[in-house]
Amino acid sequence: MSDVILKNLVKNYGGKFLAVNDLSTTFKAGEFVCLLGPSGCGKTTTLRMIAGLERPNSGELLFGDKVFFSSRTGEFLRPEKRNLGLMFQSYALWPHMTVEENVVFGLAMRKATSTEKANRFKELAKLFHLDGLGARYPRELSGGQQQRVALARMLAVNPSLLLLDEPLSNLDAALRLEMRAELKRLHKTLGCTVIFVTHDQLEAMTMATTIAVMNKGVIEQMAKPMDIYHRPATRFVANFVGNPPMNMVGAAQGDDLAAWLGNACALPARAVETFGVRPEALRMAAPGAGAMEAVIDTIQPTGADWIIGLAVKGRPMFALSAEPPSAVVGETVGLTLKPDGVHAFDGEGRNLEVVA
Amino acid sequence: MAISTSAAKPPLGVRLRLLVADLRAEPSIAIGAVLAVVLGYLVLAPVAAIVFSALRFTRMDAVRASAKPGDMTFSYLERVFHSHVSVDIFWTPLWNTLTVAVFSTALAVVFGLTLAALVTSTNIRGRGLLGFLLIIPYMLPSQALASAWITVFKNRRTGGAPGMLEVIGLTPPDWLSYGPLPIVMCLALSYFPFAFLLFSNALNKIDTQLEEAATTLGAPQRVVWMKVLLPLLIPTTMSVLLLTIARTLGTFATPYVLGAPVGYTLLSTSLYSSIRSGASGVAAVLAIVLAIFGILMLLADIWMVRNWQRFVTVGGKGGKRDVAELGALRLPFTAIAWTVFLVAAFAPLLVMLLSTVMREPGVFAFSNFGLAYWTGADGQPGVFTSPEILTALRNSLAIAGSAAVLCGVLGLTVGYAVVRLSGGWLAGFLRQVSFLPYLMPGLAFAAAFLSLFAVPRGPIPALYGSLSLLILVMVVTYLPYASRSGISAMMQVGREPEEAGMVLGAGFFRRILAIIGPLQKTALVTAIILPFISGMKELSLVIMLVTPGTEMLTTQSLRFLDYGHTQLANATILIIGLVVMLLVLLLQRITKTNLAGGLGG
Repeated sequence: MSDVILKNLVKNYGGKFLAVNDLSTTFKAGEFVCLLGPSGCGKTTTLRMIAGLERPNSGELLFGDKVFFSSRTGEFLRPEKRNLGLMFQSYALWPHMTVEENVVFGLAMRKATSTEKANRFKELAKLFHLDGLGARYPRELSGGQQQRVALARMLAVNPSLLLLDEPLSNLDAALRLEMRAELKRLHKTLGCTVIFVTHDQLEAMTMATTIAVMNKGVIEQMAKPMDIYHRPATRFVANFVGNPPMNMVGAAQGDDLAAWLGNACALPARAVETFGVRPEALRMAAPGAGAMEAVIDTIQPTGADWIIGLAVKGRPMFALSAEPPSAVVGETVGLTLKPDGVHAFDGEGRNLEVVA
Repeated sequence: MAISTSAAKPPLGVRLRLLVADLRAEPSIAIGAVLAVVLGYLVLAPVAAIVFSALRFTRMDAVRASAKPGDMTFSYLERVFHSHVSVDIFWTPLWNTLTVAVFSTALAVVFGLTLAALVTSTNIRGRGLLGFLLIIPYMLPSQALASAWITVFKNRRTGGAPGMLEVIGLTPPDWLSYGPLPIVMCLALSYFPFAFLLFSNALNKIDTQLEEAATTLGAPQRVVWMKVLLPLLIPTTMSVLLLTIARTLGTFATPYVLGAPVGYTLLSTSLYSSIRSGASGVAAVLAIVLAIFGILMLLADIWMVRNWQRFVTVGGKGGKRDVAELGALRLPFTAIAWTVFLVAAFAPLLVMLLSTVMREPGVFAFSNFGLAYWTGADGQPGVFTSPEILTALRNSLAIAGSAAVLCGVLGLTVGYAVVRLSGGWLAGFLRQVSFLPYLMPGLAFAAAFLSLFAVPRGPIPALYGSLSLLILVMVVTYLPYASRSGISAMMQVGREPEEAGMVLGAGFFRRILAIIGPLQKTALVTAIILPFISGMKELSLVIMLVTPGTEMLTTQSLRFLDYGHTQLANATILIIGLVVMLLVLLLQRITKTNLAGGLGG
């Protein structure tokens, strides 16, 4: 088992667009790492550089003591030689090959005998519920089955590192839940390192052991999922993770609202530029009960909870409540705060609590 | 201390190692580089050569002007634009060209739009069948209609076999037999299928929700057409207009067959006579003028497509448009549509076929029919025994066939390199250089090839008079279509199937053989058959490059017309039509489509 080490990786396209900007980090062996970020943040480029499908412009990329790439010594290990597993967003199953031919392709490249191939396929078919589908063509399979074929093809050669590029985005909601559980189980059984790219915070939160939130070619924060949620290092991370997103309130005005929030997070108001309030940290009470009042603007029941649109001192905010609201639209309610859901960010977007 | 060491470039050895690693990991870099050099030469060198020919003395003219061959001169420009002959070789042909282009294009658009509307959106009888039949003229070589016209309307002004009307005692006047009227008619009839195809496609693609929105707001059918559909077709109309004008500019066969007998010259025929009379400097200038016209038209088209984005109506859930019930007008409109088919396709084919089985044209007596022109009689060889036709058939198949195979392979290779290298400058260069020949009318491009390869150039021997010159010029001319379809075929498959193989340990050749090859089988066959079809029909591109040993079916049919052997010319054209039809059927079988759409060139 080896760590994946990235040192000062830079990748730009045509000298113009900087996709990955001086990225240095280490993905520990055995972790389920999630690269999370909006489209264009460089997460897929990072994954493809680890796979060898993109060559970095400079920097170093190591897998344990194996050098994948180094602009210092001029080494570049071709993807064919890296022995890792990659699963594409589209699955990239070959439509002209049967399920079995797809799955054992990697073994054929390693000159396996036909008995070896047949045995391995049997094993994998059992593991991924593909029994009896070996002679079918990919287009004859359902989306979920196609995905399991792609998984089986990736795992057939016992890769030492698994790379997954948004593999769940083509599935419907129910299947996605099931596959999240399956991937999690798989990671536990195999124990190998997994690097997973997604823009879906729910996927990242539910599956990863470590989340790296990327933005504009750099990692803004890398931490355990719960830490990402509760101690976001930057305003970007705070805003990107969480649904409904964190309420952002400018602090410059120095009005009641800012004072109230500043009071809650017990920070000297020194360099606070923006306060962030998690929707679930906003609690409603009887009018006059809290230090702040708000008018209910909209109520969106989701079944499990209620998303309540509020006008707080004329500013729109969302609250998330597990209880039905005690008032109706247009009425005034009192507000209280759960202090650990309030964050303060400085002019550069850093979380002042985490920095301190 | 912040001393920037990272900014320093790594040593040369390291950079070389990375370059080698890059080339090994990505063979498409090497492939792309070779393609760039070869295509760059084949596309750009002829253009340079023709500019040189226009501006430098030939050996003959140098002697006359007591200058050295190759000296810079504006005398050819002067001769074309401002001399005692410029009216004959340039200004009149220019005026004629514009006249013919405007009228034939206008007619083609009117026919195309009307028929597209009738066939796609109304309940005229036999609309399914008409959709296919109306494209038939597109499958015939460009001289077919002219040849059929001559077969019927030829008068005593020219020799050889007389026209059908002449035989039965009606001498057609010159204006009906030759000149602008028949040229405009023939061009309009042979170009309207193109307009018909584009308009039908556009109408089928318009989101029907746009019409339904108007209908739910109370607009009657007539208003929906006037206020919604026709305005949405404006970009298509402009596109059809420009592309048809561009084609008319470079058309050769029709004005040659129908214009030459009365001295009605177009730029294309003027260029041809300049080449034939050895005035290569003048020909070069005329070719450049043609090319500039062509480029202007196509640039205008590209500009328009880009600027009329607001008319893009693709997508949506719109289903098939409900056909309009024409009521009492159903019969008249059905008649109009079928008449166009009869005049544009059926009648010409019938006339050509009849002429080859009748001893005396126009005499409908049973004893007058026979297969003499096919089998040969009275010591004269027939179609099946004529050494000219057999050689031409062999040449046509060899030239069009080899060009097609080369084109297909080259197109997909360009596609592969462009897709693998997408985003890089090499991909951009390949895209552009392979598109360039599209801007040049075939005749101008042929003139350019002639000035380039008439003499040995470096390692390349003089190619004039060889089949390889014809193959080469065809490959380069069809390259835009081939590479465009190659790029889209590769785009469709994308990079991922290959990358999946890469990660699993498959090397380059293995990936090509096991993954890319099988996935692109159909695309390759299509990419070969389409240029094969165009090559069989090609005339204007090859007419200046063929020599007595390298005649093709198309050029041979023109020679027959020159000598007045109308019957043999028609038979040759029918053979071309037959081969093309077979290829189209083969293509439909392979791609499982049922429309002869997408026939390039």
